[in-house]
Amino acid sequence: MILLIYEWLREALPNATFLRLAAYLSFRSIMAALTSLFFMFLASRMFLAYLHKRQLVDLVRETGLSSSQDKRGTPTMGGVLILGAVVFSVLIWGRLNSSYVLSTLAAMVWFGAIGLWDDRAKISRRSGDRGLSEQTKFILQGLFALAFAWFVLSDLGPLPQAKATLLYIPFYKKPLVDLGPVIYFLVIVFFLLFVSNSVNITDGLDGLAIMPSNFVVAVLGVFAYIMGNKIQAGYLQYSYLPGAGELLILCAAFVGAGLGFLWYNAYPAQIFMGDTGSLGIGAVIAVLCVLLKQELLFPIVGGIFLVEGFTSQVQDKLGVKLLGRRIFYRAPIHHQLQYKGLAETKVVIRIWIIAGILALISLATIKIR
Amino acid sequence: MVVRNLKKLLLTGGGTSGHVNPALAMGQAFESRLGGAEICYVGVRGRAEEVIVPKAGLPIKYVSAAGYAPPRRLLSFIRFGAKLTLGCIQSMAILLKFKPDFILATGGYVSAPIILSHALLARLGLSKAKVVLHEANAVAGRLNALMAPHVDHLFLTFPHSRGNGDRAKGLVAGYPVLNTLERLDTAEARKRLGLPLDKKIVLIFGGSQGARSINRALAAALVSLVDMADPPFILHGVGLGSLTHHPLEETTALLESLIGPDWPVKTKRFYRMETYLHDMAAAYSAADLVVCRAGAGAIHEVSSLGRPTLLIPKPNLPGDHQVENARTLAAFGGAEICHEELLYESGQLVSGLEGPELAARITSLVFDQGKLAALSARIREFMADGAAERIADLVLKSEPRKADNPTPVAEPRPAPLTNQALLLALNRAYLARGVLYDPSDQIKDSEELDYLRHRSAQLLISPDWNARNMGVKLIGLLKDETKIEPLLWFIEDRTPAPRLHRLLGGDFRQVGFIRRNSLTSLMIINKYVPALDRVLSAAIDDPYYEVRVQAAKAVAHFQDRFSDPALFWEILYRRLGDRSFEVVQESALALGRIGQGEEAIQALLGLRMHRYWQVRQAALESLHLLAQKNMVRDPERLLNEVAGFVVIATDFRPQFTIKASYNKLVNCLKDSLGKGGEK
Repeated sequence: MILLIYEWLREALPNATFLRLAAYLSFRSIMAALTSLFFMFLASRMFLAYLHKRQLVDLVRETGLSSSQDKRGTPTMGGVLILGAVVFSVLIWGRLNSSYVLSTLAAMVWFGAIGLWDDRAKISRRSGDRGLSEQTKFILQGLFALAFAWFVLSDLGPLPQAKATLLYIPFYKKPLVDLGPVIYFLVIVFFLLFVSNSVNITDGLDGLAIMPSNFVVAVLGVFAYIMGNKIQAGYLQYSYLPGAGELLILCAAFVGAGLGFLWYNAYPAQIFMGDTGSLGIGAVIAVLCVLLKQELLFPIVGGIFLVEGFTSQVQDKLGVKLLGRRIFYRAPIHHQLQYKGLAETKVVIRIWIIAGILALISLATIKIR
Repeated sequence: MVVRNLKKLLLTGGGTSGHVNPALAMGQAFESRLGGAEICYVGVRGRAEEVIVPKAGLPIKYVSAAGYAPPRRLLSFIRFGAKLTLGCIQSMAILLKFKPDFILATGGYVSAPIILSHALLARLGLSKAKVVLHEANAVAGRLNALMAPHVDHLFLTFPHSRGNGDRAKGLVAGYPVLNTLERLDTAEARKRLGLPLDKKIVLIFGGSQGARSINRALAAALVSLVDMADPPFILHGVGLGSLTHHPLEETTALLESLIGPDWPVKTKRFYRMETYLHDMAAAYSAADLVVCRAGAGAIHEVSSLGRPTLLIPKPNLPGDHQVENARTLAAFGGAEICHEELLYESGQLVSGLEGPELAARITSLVFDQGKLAALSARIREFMADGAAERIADLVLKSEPRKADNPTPVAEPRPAPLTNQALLLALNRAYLARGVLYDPSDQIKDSEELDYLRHRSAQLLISPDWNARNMGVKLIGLLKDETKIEPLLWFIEDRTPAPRLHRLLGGDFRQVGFIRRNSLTSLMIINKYVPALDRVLSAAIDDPYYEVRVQAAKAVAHFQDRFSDPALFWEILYRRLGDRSFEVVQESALALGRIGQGEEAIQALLGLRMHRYWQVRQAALESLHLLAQKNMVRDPERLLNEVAGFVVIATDFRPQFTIKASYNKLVNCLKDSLGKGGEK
């Protein structure tokens, strides 16, 4: 929106050169971050009051840990705020005809809506364990994943068709292989499903999901800036993706919203993001990775999510359902740490530290190639 | 030439003769009332109908069908769906070509494609048939229950059929049979069969094919009868068997090994074995007591002849229908039930009956004249004859659901609690009551409790570990003391898991959860048996950590009941070095309960620098227990050593005081509500 106003003003007032500021990516992204941050500060109190009034609060989940009993009554669905802040801020500071931005927002809103439905179902069925069935969720997510994969590989997608199916690995300049449309299609679908559900699983302790997400999105923002900038991309030998720089605005807005959410979500939490938030965030991360050709950076930058998702799937599908025993002491990993006697706050902060280290390693891959 | 406009009947239902024969009987009754009819039978290839129907001189067509499988078992479910779809297409072709006026179905999964495709064609106006469904058993088959809303007339065998749902109030019609057996004079029947006139006679058989567990149990029962001064006379129909089952040879071999090669001489005065009882009417009439399975056909026969009966229902059938049949009759007062129990057989748990137990049941019943008379009087009223004719009359002449209709309408009853629902309810009660928990508070009806215990025990012989695990949990929560032995056996069973499972990290056939939950159940049952010493000391060394944890908990639980607690000391000391901190923690706690002397104290002190605070805490608790029991000889030295304990912890328990206040208020209000309710 600001861009439109700027273009109009530039013609009306050719002498006001300081207005050029509004055209710079760096300025707009800082403003986007601040906008979503203040959106969170301003909207959260009202939203919290609303959630309490409507009794949209978390119910006991049977995890077997006594301290989880204390979570009862915390309002959930905070994801609505995060997603709202991101959309609001991007609408103001972003370039709205960018298909990079639009497809990321679409993924976020679609997955957020699935999560919202799930959260509502859990509350109306009065049980923290019985939301939408796993199959329903899977089908709804799969539908979007299929559409998105098709979109990326078609003419409509933001990526140049020649580059769309290339697979890059970290620490290596050239594309590793050209997967071809069929395999790459399947990779995208699987990736989207896995990442969004991993974030969903990670969201189990106060502040646990939001900080690693912020790290991941910030790192991806840096990548978006580099790859969308012809000079930087040329210097660092990345393939230049015209227009990808606009994703920096979205990433910045996301980080701002995330920090604003953490303000209330920090232990002891006053609000949870719910599946609305975790699925929406997972979708953002997955789509950013795909659009920036960093699918294989995810195991590093999103290592926390990978481990959480992997351990929980192996434990449930292979161990509990097939073999009749636990493979890991407990899963996902944050539960394991809790069962081993670490306080919730300690678990969360340790995982933040690890996420931070992983983010630094990921940034190092820009230079070390 | 005048073409007679014959009505057309389509008969369907099958799988077993128990479904085919009623269909044929209904067909016959309809045919005679309609003055002839064109009949076609639809069945599944390779099942009982393939033999019986051509023998009856009727044309048979085959469709594809499969038994119901839940979506949880995906592969079976897909197979079921595919077969059903194919069957429906085949059925549509049959229906469109044959254009029946009546579809007479008896269920079994064979009927499902015909009824479904009829329902579809009827919507399109392409099929005008009336559908009559007869449910043979006291609990509706899964597919019959699903079909019930789509039929025009639903008839039941038993006055209370479970699980039909509200929409399907059926009429109680009895069991349709082709030929009704005639009751003979007892003496005449005995003469005809060459049986002694002055003895009590017991007829025992397991259907025309024979039942392995009944034959085995009877062979073992004969051992106890041989020594009796005046045993009842046993007329035994061993059955014709099948390709894989040779009852005559098996039973003879068993008798030889149990009684000796001279068994025919020893048992001659009171035992006669027949492969097949050709004159069932005489056999029934000659007997003072009938011992048989609880299929609908057998129940109909004993009921129509008014014979006192001891039923041995076959467990683990779909919907547990034989057990439900038997319970319905027993609740009516018309028969007694002898449930199959769990037996060991060459390293396997199987379902069967103990010989002496069966002998005792038979002798106590057959010599109790008053009881026999009561059963006989009651069972005669249980089921009326002429079901096929009644059904034909009701369908052909009048609307069956009119108020003045004399045929009773069955009250729909809910299906019995599923295992999962039962587990949830009992577990909730157990968590709430703790040591005071008693399952009979939850299940007031003792007959129901016995039944649930029987059903849970039967889960233990399932090849699916999930079912066995469920059985183990339920046995504990139902506090079934008679099943302690199989639980102990599960913990000790070292049969390896399938190779693939072992490659992925599995170990034994009785998977980790089963072994762990067996220990938990033993603790809930809370009864000490001497074998626990052996089993627990082995379980503490189990390869799976959760089993070791639970075993250590069990040692602490049964603390003062062990004959020799010292047996566990060495093992517990060793477990203080376990890889899993939870095992160390529980072992330390157990040592506090059963440990003694300086050795235990030193072992616990060795944990003062342990990496996990839970372990250190457990050691402190146990030292405290030992100190309370005056086992510390030198408190001053201990005080010095305890100072070396690392008391820093990585965890803390937050206190949300506002929540405490809230809970205090809520509980107070709930209490006053509860008291008000009791008044």
